[in-house]
Amino acid sequence: MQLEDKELLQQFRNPETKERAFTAIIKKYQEKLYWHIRRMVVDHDDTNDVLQNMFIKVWNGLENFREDSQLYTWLYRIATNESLTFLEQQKKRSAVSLSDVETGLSNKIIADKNFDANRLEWKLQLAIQQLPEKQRAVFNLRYYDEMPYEEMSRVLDTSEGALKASYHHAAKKIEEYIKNH
Amino acid sequence: MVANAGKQNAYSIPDGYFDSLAESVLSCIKLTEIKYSNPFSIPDDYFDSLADSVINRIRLEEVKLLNPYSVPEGYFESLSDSIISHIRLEEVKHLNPYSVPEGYFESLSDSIISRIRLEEVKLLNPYSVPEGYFASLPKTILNNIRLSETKHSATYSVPAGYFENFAGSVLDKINAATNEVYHELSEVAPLLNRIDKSDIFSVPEGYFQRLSTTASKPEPKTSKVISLGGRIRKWTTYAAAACVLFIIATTTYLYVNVHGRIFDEQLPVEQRISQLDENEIMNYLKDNDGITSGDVISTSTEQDPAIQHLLKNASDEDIQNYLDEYSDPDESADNGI
Repeated sequence: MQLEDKELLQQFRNPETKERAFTAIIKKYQEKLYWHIRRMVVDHDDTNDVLQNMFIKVWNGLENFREDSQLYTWLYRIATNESLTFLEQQKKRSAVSLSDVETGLSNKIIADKNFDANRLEWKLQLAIQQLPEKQRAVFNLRYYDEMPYEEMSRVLDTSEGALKASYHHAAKKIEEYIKNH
Repeated sequence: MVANAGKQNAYSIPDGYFDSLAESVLSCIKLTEIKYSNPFSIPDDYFDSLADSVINRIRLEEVKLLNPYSVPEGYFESLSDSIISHIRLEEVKHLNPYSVPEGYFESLSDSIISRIRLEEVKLLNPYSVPEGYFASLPKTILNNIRLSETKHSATYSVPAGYFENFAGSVLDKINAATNEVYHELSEVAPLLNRIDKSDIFSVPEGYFQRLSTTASKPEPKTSKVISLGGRIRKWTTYAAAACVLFIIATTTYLYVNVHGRIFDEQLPVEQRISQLDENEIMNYLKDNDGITSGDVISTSTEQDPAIQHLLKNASDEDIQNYLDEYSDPDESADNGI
């Protein structure tokens, strides 16, 4: 584990420095985690809710963190699970089919004030939303965060081989989508 | 009569003649006397040289009349016109059609002096030239000319867009050598490597600054936000399971009656179903398309009225105590781990 994360954990476990350490952890990882969640749920307000819930869970569970993986791996795991749970809840709460949920996310992308249909980056986002949620998480972690498969398997609790296959499949689907749109 | 005619005078005389006669005779006598006394003096030998001087003067006058100079033909005829032209030319010279800037003549001397000094300074060269520069200059220029001629006559061709894409292709090579993810994508989906990965979604200004402030102090455990949705869903899950069981039982009963299949008559269907494990029921619900516990309760407004009534008057402490008593041991604070 990185020395800085170790120090942060030690400080977190000390009641006098707990809040300061927690603030430092948030500041260190907030943007990475924000964008990871945002690429899953699209909407900023939803991302904010998921991110805040995620950090609340970090606060509650960090003391029992076993340090058998990197801190950021553990944070990514919570963020990914929270995102998947949120999407699942959203699907059930609105009583619509999966394809309608994807359409809703695509509409949220199109509604973003920076949206430009002619730019490849936005076409990429629309293509990503066509993927199933877990495959979406696999693609984002590998493509954007360049996470090694070994770490990703700890985040998603899936074998490296399955993750590699999922990622390759997702990349091809996305490339095909972009070429056709 | 002749005696009387001799005594009258036929001649007339001026008046007062005889009165002024005596004075006039005396004046004549005096004048005669003066005549002979000469008040004027003359040079010596004046009369002796008088004849010669008169003769010389006569000859001089004769010489003047003889002219040794010649005059161009028509000179005198055009003389007047020539003189008049000269006069007019002199008059025109005094009329100046040209204008001169104000203060020109006042500053003319200073201007000339400045220019003279400038010319003098130019002659002083502060720059140095490398040794042998001018000697080798022609050769250098010729070499440069030959070099440029060589460039223009290059026979190699360059693919279209080569230089425009050069930087990108160099970066691609660098990334391919160092970045495993890049290399992987270049084999699977090369197009994705050309897309800018920077974050494009809009984020409210100052969001990350506020985030660390608002999230740095979460609420204590005793007042943590309890996801009632999950707990209530469990109750509704059981309710839904009960509904499904009833449906299955009815269907089975009807099916048995229709097709005459004989089941174990020792136990009613309801009893057999009631002996099923909860997990088996949940798995059955999940495996059936569209029939999930979440689908039965499609919106939060369709919660069981009984549960709503239970929760209406319950305090947080009561809810927490219930959850502590009936909480699923598999669920931890790190949900999903």
